[in-house]
Amino acid sequence: MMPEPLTTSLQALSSNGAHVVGTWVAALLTLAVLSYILGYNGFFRLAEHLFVGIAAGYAAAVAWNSVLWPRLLKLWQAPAAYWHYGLFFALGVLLLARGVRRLSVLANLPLAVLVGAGAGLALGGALLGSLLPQTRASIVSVSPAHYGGGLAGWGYAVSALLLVLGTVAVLAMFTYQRGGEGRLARIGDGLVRLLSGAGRKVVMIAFGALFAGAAVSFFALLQSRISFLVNDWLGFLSRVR
Amino acid sequence: LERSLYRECPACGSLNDADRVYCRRCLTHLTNPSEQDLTQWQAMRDQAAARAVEQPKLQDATSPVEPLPAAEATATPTHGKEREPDQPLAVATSLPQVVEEALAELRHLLPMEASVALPHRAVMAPLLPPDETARADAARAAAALFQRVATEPAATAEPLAGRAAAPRQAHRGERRIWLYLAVLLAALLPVLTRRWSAVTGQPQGEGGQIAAEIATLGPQDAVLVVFDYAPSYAGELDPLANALLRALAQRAVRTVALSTQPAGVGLAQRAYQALAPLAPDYTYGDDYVILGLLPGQEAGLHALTQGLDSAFQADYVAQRPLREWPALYGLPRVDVFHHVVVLSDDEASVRRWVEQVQTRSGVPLDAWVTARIEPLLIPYERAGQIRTVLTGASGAAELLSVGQDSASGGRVVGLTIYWGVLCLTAIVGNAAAWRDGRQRRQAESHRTEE
Repeated sequence: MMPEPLTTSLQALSSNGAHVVGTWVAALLTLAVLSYILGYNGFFRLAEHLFVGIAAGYAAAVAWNSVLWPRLLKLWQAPAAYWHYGLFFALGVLLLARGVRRLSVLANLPLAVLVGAGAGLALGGALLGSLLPQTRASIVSVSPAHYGGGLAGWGYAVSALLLVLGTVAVLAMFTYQRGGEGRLARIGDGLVRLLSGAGRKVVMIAFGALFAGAAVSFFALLQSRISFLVNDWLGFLSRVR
Repeated sequence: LERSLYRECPACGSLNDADRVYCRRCLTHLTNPSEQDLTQWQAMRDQAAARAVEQPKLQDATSPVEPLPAAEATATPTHGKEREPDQPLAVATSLPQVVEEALAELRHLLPMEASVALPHRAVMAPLLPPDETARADAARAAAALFQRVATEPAATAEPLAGRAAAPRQAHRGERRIWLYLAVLLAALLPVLTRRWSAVTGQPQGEGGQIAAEIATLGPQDAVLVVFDYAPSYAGELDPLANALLRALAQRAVRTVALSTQPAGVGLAQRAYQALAPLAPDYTYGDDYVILGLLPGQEAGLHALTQGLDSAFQADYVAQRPLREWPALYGLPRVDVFHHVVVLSDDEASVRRWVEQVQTRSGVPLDAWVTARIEPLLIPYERAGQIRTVLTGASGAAELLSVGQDSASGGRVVGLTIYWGVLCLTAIVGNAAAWRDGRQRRQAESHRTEE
């Protein structure tokens, strides 16, 4: 329970006052994080620790309020209807035995349930949701007529061709076996080597796209923070207006 | 050796370190030797010495030079001793006295190896000539040689490159500062030129199409909004979430919010709080509901496809059963929603929604994500599993541009300038690297010619 003087103080704090305090705290923490540009310092470390600690505490509170407590309440009020929650709670309690060396074997049962159910659902989902649809999506027509002809049709056809070639090339990049002896095998090896080189370039392009995306993402975050500092904290823009 | 460094075991005779209490071989207690023992050991040592004198001296078979006398080789230190110019380099081959005595008992068992019998280092004559002038010249020459070795680079490419790179370090630091300033300017510009950029930065794109589709929805429709991002990426995804909720609230479309991350629940609450002043008639329970945290990842999403009641017992805000909220009337399952919008900063999270929810229920799925993970979701969009992929900064601007939002244009202008900075940096950086490489190659070729 929160101490009464603190509760009274918080209640006395008006919404506007809370907003001002929150803005100042957020601004100072933002500056502390941005101070990393000068090197790893105490302010940055403080902000880092606060972020991790508050995130963990908030996650625990949300899990209790949103997941555990409502179900416990139901189990308490109507145990006959919600008896299965008791079973799950027992499994959850058994998971805590992992921390005690002599009792840690008891945690194997809930772990088995977790891993088994998770792996089954993930495997089925990956097969039906990723592998098959993606394989099907990579089988495309490279005929311009299929896309209506004309310049646009040719554009789509070239795009589809690049898709197919890129997919095959990247798959060839992960081929580490040689075809064997003989002229045909040498031709095959040469083709795989050629595709493998092209696949490496495709992967590099993909990494470049990911890097560019990350750069844009981080710039958007910087833009957001600077906008917050200038508009909300300093009120700079309102004075300019 | 026996008296100063070692203690002999009275039982087995093996030598032990002086500080040992028990014998290292037979574990007998190493007591102080009695007077009788000392007399006996002295006699034994004398006998061994006498036997050693009787046996011929061991000669080094490989050394053709004459050995020095044993007493001179052992007693007088030879380091620093001046050698006559015509005196041949001599190596002491006779055994020192102590070694002779210690190995005397083994003489008949094993042939004496030269590496044991000889001193470890050959006795070298000093290099300095005897007269002072020549000594000083030699010292100066040695000092000059040492200075040359210490200061000149070796004949490899690496020190040359390192020496050439040293002055460039300062330029590199200056370039970095200019880069920081350019990025900061790009971030500040939309804030400083807000009205101007609102006029010039009117984007057109996928966001506009989505906004047009939202305009066709009404109160009978419902949209599931998933806040699957961390506060770290709120700066990028909050504008998207705010724009979406604002557009839906204007059409009085019902919304249901949930998250598979604990922090996402708080972000959802904050987004609806930001919406409240803009849409005061859009109320909790009647128009929107926050379901809260959906734990269990794949299992949780699988339960959601079975029905909202299977995954949630109550809403997050008021902790009341779902059936009591008008906003949830006629929404027992996911597939009855008009579409699902996943706001996410994690590719794995979006993939879980595709694999567990979209594949099983067939509900249209929109992924509004950070620019960081956008390339990873393009294949799903091309395969038709995700209807639209919209990225944070530009996506929000596109979405809000339909509503003539002044801030959206500014963000796009800032982003455009940032793209310009990025491209310029890439071009200048590559050109500088090419120039440096060329200079390095030229320097190497010059050095090779020299």
